[in-house]
Amino acid sequence: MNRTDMAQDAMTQDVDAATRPQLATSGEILHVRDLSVQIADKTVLNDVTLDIGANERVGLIGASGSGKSMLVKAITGLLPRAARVDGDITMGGTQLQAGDDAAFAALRGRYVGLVFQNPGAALNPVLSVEQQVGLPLRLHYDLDAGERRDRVMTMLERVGLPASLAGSYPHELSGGQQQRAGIATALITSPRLIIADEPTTALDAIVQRSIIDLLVSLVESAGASMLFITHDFAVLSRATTRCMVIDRGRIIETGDTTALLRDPREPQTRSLVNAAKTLTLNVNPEHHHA
Amino acid sequence: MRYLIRRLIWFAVALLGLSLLVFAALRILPGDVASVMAGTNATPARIAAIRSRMGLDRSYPQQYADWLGGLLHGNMGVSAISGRTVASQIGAHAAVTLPLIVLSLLVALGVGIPMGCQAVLAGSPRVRSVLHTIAIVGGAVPALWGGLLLIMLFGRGVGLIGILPSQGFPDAGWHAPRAALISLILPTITTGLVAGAGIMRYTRACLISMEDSDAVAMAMACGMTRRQAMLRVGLRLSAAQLVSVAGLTFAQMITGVMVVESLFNLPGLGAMLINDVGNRDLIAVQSELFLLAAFFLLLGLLVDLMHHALDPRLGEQTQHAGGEGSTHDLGIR
Repeated sequence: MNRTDMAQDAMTQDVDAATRPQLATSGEILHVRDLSVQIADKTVLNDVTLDIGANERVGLIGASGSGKSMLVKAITGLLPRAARVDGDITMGGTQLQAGDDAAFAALRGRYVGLVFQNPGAALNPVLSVEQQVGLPLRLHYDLDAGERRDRVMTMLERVGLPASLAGSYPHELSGGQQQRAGIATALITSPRLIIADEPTTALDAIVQRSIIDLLVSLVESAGASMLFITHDFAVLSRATTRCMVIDRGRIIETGDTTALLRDPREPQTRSLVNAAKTLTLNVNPEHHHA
Repeated sequence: MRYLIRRLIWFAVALLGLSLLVFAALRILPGDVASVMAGTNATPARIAAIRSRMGLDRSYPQQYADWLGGLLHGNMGVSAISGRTVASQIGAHAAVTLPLIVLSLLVALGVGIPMGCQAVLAGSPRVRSVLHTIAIVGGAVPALWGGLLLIMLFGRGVGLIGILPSQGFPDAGWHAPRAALISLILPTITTGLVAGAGIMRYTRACLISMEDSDAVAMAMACGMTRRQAMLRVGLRLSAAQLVSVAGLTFAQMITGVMVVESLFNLPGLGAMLINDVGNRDLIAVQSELFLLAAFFLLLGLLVDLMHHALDPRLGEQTQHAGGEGSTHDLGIR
């Protein structure tokens, strides 16, 4: 079975009800109101408000230093301790207080799964693929070793990693395989929300598309929602249906991904879209507009 | 396994080179054990007789071969001054020094690692900065001064709370284990706390460098709290560096502990070596120096092997399984 077949197969598989978190009671997955973050007197996020509903795939795009990663960290409680956070974050029906590490930890890996930009640095170098992928299960669910292993092996198959790599360490995998292991770790507990922070940046162009397709198909088949952070518009239109633009810590524009790419309203969005078209789509923006 | 065999072969080669170096150095340096033994008014004939009896009149290759052959059979010769076998002499003194440095290292690790972790993980910034200050001040205190302070506080007969012996080691040695152990308490705390401050600083630095790492963030993303992620992942990934620091600390203690042994009047290896060098006891000194240096090499070997056990990335000829690549797979590697 090739990887495309596996992805298609994954789409048809039911989500494992036993590991599905029972936290969210409404269709709202993530609810952020007036979120501001200051680090060392510098405002990195300013009154950010966003909602992600059930089965939604939302993109977040912005230039380097615009606050994309800070927003992800604020939502998931991964900000540095020195950060000062104001505003409301509600995830899975739980209102989260900044600094309540235990409350965030209870949701991370169970209700929300994270896919990192650089899996080579994020995967624990002293854990095998099986141990790494099984870690969220170990932390959140009381499963015996055999059951945990079965789930891990099923997940590895879903992400297109051969079972023979289960005992391998991250440095023994290629970049694409490492990201597949990262995706498997994020999805092993069937979380309701996947946050992917530029998951294809460290990959070559050939692998990027297969990883995006895999991620989208797994998220769809799991009935989960996704917040997808990228600066690549080609990737954004492939992975998301709705999109937000962030600039200097503020959400400046939001809307349907295709419409926003076609007709950006804000000047900052327009310049971002034009720059990205030139760089990633190799299209002359002037000509394209005309 | 191949790494272990390769490393053991290099260890044997290094030992051989070391033996040559020690042998040559002691033949080049001035001083004649036969003259010392014979006394200041000895005749040349008496000095020559002693030289002949000790085999010092033979050619250097012959002397080296005799010494090396003896070492291989555990025979390190007889001290020209004390008349005791060098092995028994080293054994008696090592029975004081080795327990002292092992206990000191345990104290250093037991104090340094938890306090180093707390200096990063404590919730209160004030507690963190107090612990950081302790690490800096603790490392700056000379062992001699710290030892004197402990004697003045706890030394039996001289201290404010005179509950512990501060001078000497029981004549019965470890045949009187309780007395031997008690006599090592103050020297152990002296050496251990000073070394512990260093380990605390290294632990703190290692954990701070891991605080913003992707591996710790990934562990948190899986469901660990920050504290759990730092202790279970950050500290684990720092283990190789901490093993190196512990190995270096242990090696430094072997010689560094001489001051403490002298302060507490302990008959350790340091006192023995200084005494034998002063007496130009060539036979004893060359074996003692060789064993000391061999011990350093052995520590290096153990640290290397522990690195390999702790970090799978150092395994033999590891290659990724092929297939999809990252940007690094496109020729940057």
